[in-house]
Amino acid sequence: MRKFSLTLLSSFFLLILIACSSAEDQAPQVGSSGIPVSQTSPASDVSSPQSPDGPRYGGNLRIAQPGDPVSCDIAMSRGVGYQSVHPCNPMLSQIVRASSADHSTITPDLAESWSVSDDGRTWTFKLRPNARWHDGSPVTASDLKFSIDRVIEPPEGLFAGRAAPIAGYVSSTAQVVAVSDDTLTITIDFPAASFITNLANVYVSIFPKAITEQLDPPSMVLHEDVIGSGPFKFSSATRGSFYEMVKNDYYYEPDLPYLDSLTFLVIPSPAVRVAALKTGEADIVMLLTEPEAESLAGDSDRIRLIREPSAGGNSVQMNLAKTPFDDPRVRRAVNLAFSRSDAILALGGGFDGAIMPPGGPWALDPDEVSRLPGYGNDESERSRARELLANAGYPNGLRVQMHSRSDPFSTSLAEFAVAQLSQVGIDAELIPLERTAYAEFVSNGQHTLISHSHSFSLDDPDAILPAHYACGGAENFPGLCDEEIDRLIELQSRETDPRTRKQLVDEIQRLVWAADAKVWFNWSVRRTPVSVKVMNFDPGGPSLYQGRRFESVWLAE
Amino acid sequence: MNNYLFKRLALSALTLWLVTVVVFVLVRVLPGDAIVAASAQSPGESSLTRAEIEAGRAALGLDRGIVVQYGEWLGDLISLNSGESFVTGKSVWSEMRPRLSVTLELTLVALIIVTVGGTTLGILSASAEGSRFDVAVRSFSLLAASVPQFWIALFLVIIMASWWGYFIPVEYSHVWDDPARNAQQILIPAVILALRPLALLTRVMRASSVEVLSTDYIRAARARGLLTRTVLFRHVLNNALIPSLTVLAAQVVFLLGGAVVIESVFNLPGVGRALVQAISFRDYPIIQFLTLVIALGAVFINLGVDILYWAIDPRIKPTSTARGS
Repeated sequence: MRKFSLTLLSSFFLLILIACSSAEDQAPQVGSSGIPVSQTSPASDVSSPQSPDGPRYGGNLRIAQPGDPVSCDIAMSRGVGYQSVHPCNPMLSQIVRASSADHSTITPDLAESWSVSDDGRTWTFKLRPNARWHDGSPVTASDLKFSIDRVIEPPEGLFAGRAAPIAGYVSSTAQVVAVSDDTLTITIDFPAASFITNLANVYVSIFPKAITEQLDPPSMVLHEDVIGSGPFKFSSATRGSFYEMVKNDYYYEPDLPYLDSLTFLVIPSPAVRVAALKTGEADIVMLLTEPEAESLAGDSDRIRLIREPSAGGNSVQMNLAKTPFDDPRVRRAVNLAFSRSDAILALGGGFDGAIMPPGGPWALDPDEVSRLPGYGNDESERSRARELLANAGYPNGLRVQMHSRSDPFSTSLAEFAVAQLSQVGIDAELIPLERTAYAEFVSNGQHTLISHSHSFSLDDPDAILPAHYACGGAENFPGLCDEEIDRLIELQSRETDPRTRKQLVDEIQRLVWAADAKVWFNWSVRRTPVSVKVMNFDPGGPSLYQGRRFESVWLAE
Repeated sequence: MNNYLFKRLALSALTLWLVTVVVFVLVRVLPGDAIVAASAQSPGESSLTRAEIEAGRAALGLDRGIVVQYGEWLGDLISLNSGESFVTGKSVWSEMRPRLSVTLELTLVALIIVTVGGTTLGILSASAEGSRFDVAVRSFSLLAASVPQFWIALFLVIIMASWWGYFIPVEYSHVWDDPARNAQQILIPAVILALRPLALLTRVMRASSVEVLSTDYIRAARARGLLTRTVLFRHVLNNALIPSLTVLAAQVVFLLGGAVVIESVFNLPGVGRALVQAISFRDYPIIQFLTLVIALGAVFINLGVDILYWAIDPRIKPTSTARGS
């Protein structure tokens, strides 16, 4: 009876906790206790268990996620977030791959080797002789050219989203040449250190020319349409329920994958996803909030919780074209209002950083980060913020509207931001908007102040800086437009010396941070619970998107 | 009767036409469209520039006047062409047909539970007025009508997982593919979906039955020595059914609405979830199609109930001013 009552009680509280939460691209939750994930420098529990007996073949790995994949043509940007990348990536391959731990470390994929000319502009890729599509036909250089060409010049109605940085290096499809069936050359406009990293982005996946061109539009949107060259191939699917893939016998690595099949389960409710994990119906659940993660504490014998730094974070962004944020003093006051240590406690963990993901190769030195405005003593900074507001003509504080997405996760972040701003006399009225309405509102420039979260697919300056901080960048919601920042962004992209380039990126970070337009107040922790029987699982490093092919994962007895 | 039916059908057609206009306009009043919605699904560096948004709108034909778009859609509908999903590019009918079958099965099973359970419990409770059984039924009705469905559903999922390690299979099987698995996936959700309408029907049925049981003709029937079972299920049921039918008709529409929540909790790939997803993606062809199908269902259920009134009690004469549409 006692056990009954305890279970009933804990289920009741879990239900309430989970009903108040939802995970999106990343996960912390306001109001949870500051569990042992609060770090000021990234460290993670990502060690994957190995068995002394070595890998075991067979089995079905089951992964639960909240929604359906929108499109398996992940090279085109029609809504392809992680819920599309994860269930589609196992069926696809790229020319080269980025190591999930460090995106600047490149490993072979369809290309077994590559070289670059002395002038740093012409890249030559040699294909594997045994690379084949799911139907058994060979992958040729013309397939690779076709896939790169459509990123440079997308078909009508399609857009290269996260693959788009490639077009920044290759201005014409004539520069992509299939020299022979097994050789491809790409001549880039200028020597660029990041070209190969961006080519290795999971979003630059390769599709078969002959089959894709027959589709209308020429895009493998649906799971069942996909003919790829990845370790798994399509088996069956019911939209709204599940997507199953089976081992591809033509995969270029003859000993891989270890699994017989892979199933992605669509489970919208976070509470039900956790229940599926507890009962063994699912082996991996994507993205948990801190309360959900805490609810798994009693299952540590069956479930391993991976906490790792995410290449994503939370910010408030001010529209520089609107009063009062056209005044740099007001923007600085907003930056100083935030206590980063409060954020780590209140949001269930996180990391300190500037504008490039902390812990990565491009992060600003932690010592310098600690001296940035906003990272000092909370009380003295808030006092300074009140002075700045008074000097700007707001001695009694000011009232503004803050917009955010209306899902529980985004709303809770915005509520945290509102509470922080109130510490310096900024009374922010929170207005949550439905996701699409929010996107429309922001893309029209109607916003004054927004609370926003980002998750970067690639930790690379060319993948992040132009879109977020260059004049007219698609994600530059504050409308920051600074000639010096633009010049440095261009310069770092063309700089091939790693040390000089890092110095340029650091300088950009200082300038952007000093502009106080996009104020990062917390870099996030990602929580991925995995069944202990899942071996050799790579949670993907800082990015939620890279390294999701599952070919090396195996299941213990 | 023929004249009445003709008028009701004409009124139903007018209602459906109005639904097409209202839905078509309403979805376009929502901020954002399919292009913005797609880029909004993935927070990160996937936003589109204004030029790309405009190009995407043109590719979907959303840059044309609303009257032109409506005319084209209505023309397609009349020629039984449901259009293509903005997200998948597939025919709306081929996308939604399997989803409709899931929701139809779920609501049908729930409806059977509501009808059989509600009438039986209502009559038996009335016949044993004041007894422990009556109190239990009334308490159950009150509880089932008061507690939100999603709460019961989530609670049950967690309890089943925690106590028995049981989880309803996720991969959906249609009844014709694997009836046993399908039963596992449909029965529990259908029972939970049925709870609130069942409670309401039980209460209405009980109240009507108590009233009928106190009439002279029931006393006369009992005096003639008829079996209690015969009295209850032949005489009381027939006369208590009219007010219950009105409740039942309203509850069928409620069942369709409740299916949205239940489908989400129990991972059923029905139209409820499809509709919510389509709204999130601003997939106009899917939203318009599903809303029209639901409206069609509501209109014909109401029409059917009006005809049933007449069939059950021929004293009720169908007129052009009969209840609702």
